Amino acid sequence: MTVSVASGTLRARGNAALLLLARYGIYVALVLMCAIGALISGSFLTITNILSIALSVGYVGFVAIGMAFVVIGGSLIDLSIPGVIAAAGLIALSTEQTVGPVPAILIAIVVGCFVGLVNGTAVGYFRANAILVTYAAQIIILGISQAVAGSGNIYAHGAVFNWLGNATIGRVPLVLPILAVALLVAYVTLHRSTFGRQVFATGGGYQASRVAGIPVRRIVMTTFVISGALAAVTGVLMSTALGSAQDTIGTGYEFSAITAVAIGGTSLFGGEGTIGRVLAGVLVVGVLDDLLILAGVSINAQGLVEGVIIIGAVALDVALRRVRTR
Amino acid sequence: MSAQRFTNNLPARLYAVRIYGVLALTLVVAGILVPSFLQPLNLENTVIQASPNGLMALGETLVIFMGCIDLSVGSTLALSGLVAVILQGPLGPWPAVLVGVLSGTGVGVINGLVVTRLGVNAFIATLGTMTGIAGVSLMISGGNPISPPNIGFGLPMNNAIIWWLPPPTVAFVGLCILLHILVTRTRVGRNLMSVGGNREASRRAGLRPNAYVFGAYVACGTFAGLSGVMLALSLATGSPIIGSVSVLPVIASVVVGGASLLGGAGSVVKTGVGVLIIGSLSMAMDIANVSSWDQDIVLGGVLLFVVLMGTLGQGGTPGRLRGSTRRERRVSSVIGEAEKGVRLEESSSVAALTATRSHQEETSMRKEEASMRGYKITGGDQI
Amino acid sequence: MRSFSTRRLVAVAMAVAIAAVAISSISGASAATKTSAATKVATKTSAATPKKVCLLANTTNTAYAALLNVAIATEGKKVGLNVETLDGNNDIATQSEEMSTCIAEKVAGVIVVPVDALGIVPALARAYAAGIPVENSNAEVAPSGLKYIKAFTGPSDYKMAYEAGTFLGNYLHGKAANIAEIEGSAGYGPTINRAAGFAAALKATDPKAKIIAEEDGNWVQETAENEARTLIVKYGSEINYFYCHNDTMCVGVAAAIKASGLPIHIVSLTMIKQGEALIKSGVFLFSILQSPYADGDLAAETMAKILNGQSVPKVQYITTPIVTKANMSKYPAPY
Repeated sequence: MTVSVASGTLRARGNAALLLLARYGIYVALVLMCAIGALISGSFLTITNILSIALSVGYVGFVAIGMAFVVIGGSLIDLSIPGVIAAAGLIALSTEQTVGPVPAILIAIVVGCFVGLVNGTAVGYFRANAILVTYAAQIIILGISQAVAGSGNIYAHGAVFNWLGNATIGRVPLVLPILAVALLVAYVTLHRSTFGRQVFATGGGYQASRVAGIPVRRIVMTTFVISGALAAVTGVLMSTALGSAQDTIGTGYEFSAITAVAIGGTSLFGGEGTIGRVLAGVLVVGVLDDLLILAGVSINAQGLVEGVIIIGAVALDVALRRVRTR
Repeated sequence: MSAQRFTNNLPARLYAVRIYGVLALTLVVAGILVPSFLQPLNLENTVIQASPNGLMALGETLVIFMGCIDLSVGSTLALSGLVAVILQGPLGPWPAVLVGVLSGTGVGVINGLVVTRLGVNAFIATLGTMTGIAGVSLMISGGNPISPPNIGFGLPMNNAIIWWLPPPTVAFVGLCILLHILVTRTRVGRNLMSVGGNREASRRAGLRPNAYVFGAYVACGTFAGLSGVMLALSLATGSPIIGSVSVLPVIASVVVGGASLLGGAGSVVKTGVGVLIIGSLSMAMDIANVSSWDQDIVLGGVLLFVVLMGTLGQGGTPGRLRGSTRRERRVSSVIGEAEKGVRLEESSSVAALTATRSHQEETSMRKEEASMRGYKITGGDQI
Repeated sequence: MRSFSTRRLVAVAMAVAIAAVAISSISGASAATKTSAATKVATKTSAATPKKVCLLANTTNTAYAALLNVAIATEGKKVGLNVETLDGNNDIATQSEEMSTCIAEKVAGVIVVPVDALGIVPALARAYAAGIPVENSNAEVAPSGLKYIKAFTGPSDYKMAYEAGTFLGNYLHGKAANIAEIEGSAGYGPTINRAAGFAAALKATDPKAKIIAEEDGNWVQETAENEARTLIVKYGSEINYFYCHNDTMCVGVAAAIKASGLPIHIVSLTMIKQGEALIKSGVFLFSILQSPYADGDLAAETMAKILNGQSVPKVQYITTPIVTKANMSKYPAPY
């Protein structure tokens, strides 16, 4: 920033303001959207609505955390999330009657970790393209679980699953406190641990990190395992809450997750981002969906609005990032 | 020039054309498992039915050559068909066809601008257009399939015009050949491949990478628009929801055809062969009454296989210090200096632009480039 | 560092595994067809060999469609048909291409559940030109296609929705009411018809009843639940009823209503097991039973009659009874 005599201070202050906006833009955007919401509907700022928004994107929150690890680690995306969600739900519900609820949940999570392991090995060790590998993995895992469970509904049984699906703390369903815990653990892992630093380094520069002695292949693989495990948790929570599982319960979640991550301002090229931004992105997606309904946007017009918002938000973030990193 | 591209190295030559072997193998295996697949009419239908996706795959190939991706082709397919059908009354059949194709071009322009001017990652950008354009289709159709006023105008799309090929297939084959010639024999085409292969080096050699990325997206949208118009005319219906299942086979065809998702490598004709491979699998599985879910599993397996086989050719961990030749030592030292935001450049940028390498050198260079690029590279609008 | 040969080994192993899956999947499917054909030929006591019939299914991936397709195949076997099912993957282009495949196979007849009522018409014309009789099942083709088919059997989305709207309109006795509608996936035939039929009936029986909101529930329980929650935030106790295009979505809506504590009721279509409890508890005013077995059996029987040269009515609707708390013991959910 050059400072000339007369306009220097003003320019410096303007630039500082821009820098501030750039760094915290997403939070500003979120606040702005909430303000618009309050203008559109008197019920926007109620506890009921806020809770509703949180519930609508609760599951997206879990998978967005996993996606964030993958993205920050430099692997761009994990497309296998819908398959893992559905598989975990189907497996948990269908095995519950033979092995009991807790083992069923564990099996489901192990399956999710295994899918993550396969993805992570292919991308981390074989350096295969993440899009193709995770897409193939998604189809395969979904196909296998559908072959096992059929194309109909599997219903949830038993007291434990019933409790899990319906338990609340006050008015807040269980999924939200669990998500809060997950966010906290993710924050500590990503920002306060060696592993987290290594993830950032790997995403920021694979070669440089490798040369510096970071076990980059293992790091990449671990990010996928985290993503798979979280997707499995999502599947279990979702299917117990819904009371049933089908192979379609995960549809669209990979796109919601990557959108939330991208809108939040995490670079899809890897190496930067924060859990706070991921949360902000998830909330933006939730508030957007809420606003579309509150504002009475017609069904046919919603797709266009969503597409424009996605592109606009990410473009804005790219522009602001240029300011941030100047 | 072609003489220089081939050496007497038979294994290398065979390796380069292995895609045809894969096609032959696919036909043989499919024929064994599903005997009626090999009946002439079924084989003809395979090619005919692969054509709509094939046209889209041609355009997608250009985008993938640039190291980008276009997820919106399915939505463009629907939009262009709707436009051609809706405007048939007001504008007349042929102008409506033109506007329909141009609507695809328009989508390509939007994609190109968002990726190059706004700097948005290709995946997210085309995800956004995919959603947005699908929404536009719903809006202009009111959520209903639309019948054209003159159904008879479009039905000849189903009739054979050359040999047994109907218009969409003629378009697919013809454009495949034309595009291949464009990419391999013209300056524009060679520049396109070099930009895709190494953006930094191309920029330093005086090319404008963004122009080529933009052009690739425009072409991709146009091809999807053409396919959509032809499809809508052949079905005598504009459907707002068509095309959503097409993105997977289209990208699978390009990948199976050997194009690298990192850009700069591949061949249009081989994408065409990839289209036929995927189409043959679909036809055989249809005849065998395999459900769409199981077909997706097979497709997923094929993708996984191709991907792993592709990484096979890289020969070892990226960046592994190796080699005794001067070239390899040069490469290793460049790797050692890699930093965030800088594409690895070859020590000789001229080499990036010269298409007259020997075939063997090209193959080994591709392997090295691929191994260098095997990790994510920052600083570009690439996936 | 992985060596070249280990990688190659792993990749080849994977390739073999995938090839094995692919081959077993394909040969399993075709073997099943072959086996059933062989059994039929061996055990059929009547003179005729089973006639090969293509079933162009719109999808195999929903509970209803899966049961419908199996019903057609099973009943088909009983009446002398060898039914081969081709999965249209909810894509009209795919289904149109599959018609060409069936025509090339010179099948005796085609049963079609069209993905797109309009878009299937050229394919019907092709079958007609090839002399292959077509039976239209479950979802009616567009009027322009009627001349190419021999018969339609199945439920009528429009009629079903119309009956639902009539029931509700009469139930309201002319009172004003606000109804929020959760629709199926935008652009699909059932969605269009279930919206149109309901709206028309409501207008006819109770003009004061208004549909105040429509959202796209995509046939998915969770999406419908989220949308219902937001609509309840927006309208609160102004909403009197939710109308969903299928029970699955309404189960989600019921959860949202329960959480809100408001006395909102639900009218729904296509009953499922999960909905039964809600009918019993009174949250559902009614649902409508659409039986894939009745649907499929009638389709197969009609096709057999057509192929035997018997005359059949052009249109046969299966009954889709309204199921309320009062009569639900008579009508268990099919799935």
